[in-house]
Amino acid sequence: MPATNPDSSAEDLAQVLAAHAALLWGQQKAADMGQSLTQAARMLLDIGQHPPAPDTEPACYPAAE
Amino acid sequence: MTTSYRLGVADAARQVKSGELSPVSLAQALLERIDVLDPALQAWVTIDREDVLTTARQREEEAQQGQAPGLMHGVPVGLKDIFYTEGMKTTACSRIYADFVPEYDATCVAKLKQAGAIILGKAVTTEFASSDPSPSRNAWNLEHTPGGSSSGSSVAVSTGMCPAALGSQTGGSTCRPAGYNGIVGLKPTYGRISRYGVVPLSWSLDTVGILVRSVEDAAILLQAMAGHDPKDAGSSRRLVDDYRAVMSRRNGPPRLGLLRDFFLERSTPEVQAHTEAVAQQLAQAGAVVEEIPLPASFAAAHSCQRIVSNVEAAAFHQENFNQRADEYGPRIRSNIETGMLTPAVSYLQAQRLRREFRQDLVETLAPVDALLMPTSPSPAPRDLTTTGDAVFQAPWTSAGLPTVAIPSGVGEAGLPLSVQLAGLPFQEGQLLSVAQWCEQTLNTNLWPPDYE
Repeated sequence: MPATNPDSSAEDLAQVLAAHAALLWGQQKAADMGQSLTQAARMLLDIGQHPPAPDTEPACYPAAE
Repeated sequence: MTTSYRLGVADAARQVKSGELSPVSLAQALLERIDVLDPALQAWVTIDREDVLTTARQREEEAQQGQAPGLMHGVPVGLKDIFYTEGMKTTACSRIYADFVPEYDATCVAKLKQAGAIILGKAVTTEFASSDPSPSRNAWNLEHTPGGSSSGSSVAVSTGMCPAALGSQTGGSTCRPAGYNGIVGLKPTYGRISRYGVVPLSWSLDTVGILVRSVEDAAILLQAMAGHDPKDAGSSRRLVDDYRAVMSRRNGPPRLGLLRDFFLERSTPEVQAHTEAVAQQLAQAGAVVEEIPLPASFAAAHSCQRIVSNVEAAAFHQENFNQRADEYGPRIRSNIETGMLTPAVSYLQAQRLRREFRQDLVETLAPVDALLMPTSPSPAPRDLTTTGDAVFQAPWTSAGLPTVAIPSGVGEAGLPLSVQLAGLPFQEGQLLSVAQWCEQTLNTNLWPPDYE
């Protein structure tokens, strides 16, 4: 999955998202989403570049700690 | 029109209890004020006048019989239109929920009623508490955004249409509009106030927010609503402090950690200078103010918040969205679509990073009583197509830490300026005591000039 590949670029990720969007909603919609897909790709890249420590589990409800 | 509209929660409750103030006359004064002001400000969605006055008469009779034990007996409160109210529309200002009438009250609404509060009405929210601007206007200048998503709640409190209102915060929706409108905003620790019966945007981020005109009033509302709720999967079992007792025990000025990294770097020169001046004023009054660096995990905090928010919004709205996508506003629609495209692995990595960030912030906060920063990079923008920038709230929401915004001055354009304090999880008493000390030291009592 490109979202977890640290070598991916924001452009690579945006293309993957656009392909997925085209499958869901068609080519025109995917093209219209250009800016939001680029922004989403940057966020995914940001996450991918900051891997959590191996022993960190997700805490979906922070108050539970 | 009387001046009772200027009373805060503490004063109004005290006067009702002593018999100086009639809940009926207070409710009538606020309803009259809404009649006069709301056509321009557009803060309210639904008001059931008959129900308000019937409840006010009940509260008045109870007070006359010496049966006014609640913290907020006879005090009217506004609710952002995402809080379930039994028998009253809860639209989330959306086409999807336009005709939704809940069969029960949200837990926090029920608790407010138990405390004696009168539900005054439902206040305007941005659609589904997201980022499509609402019609509400900033009372300090109608051409400026009031912020969002708790836009109506903030405007109503700032103009004296009600002494308190509930908002919510998933990114920056309580403290940002509080700052833009010159009032106090409290976002408690995630899990401190039940979310049961609140239309969700993002389950693991949504936090009930409090909008008032003083720090003491924030403590009163928090006291009324805090506590475990088995109906909310994210609700904490931690015991609830006596917040005003904790505040009264403050012994001397606080230690404050000033965040220049990111927060001052991203601010306008006016906000930078103002925040430095506030820090200096607090230091001159005895506070120990030291610059505190942000942890490395701050770098991904904004992305984590956005990814989690988008994915959880997509999950909640999936069924309606698949059938009625065109009935959603453009920004929440985009957020839902982005959430639908986000890989599951990225969502879980964001949740793991949130946990690390929260743990790092606990260490960052260890040497100080609270962190100090501006509430927003600028005063309310002159732009009604935006709700402003949540960039100074999103990290704290993501970490689940409590924050409070307090008014700190008026800027060059005549708009309120505000500073934000962040504290340790579940240490709202400590945070509010610091905020109250700052409030008293700064002595900034703001009221929109055209609505005094």
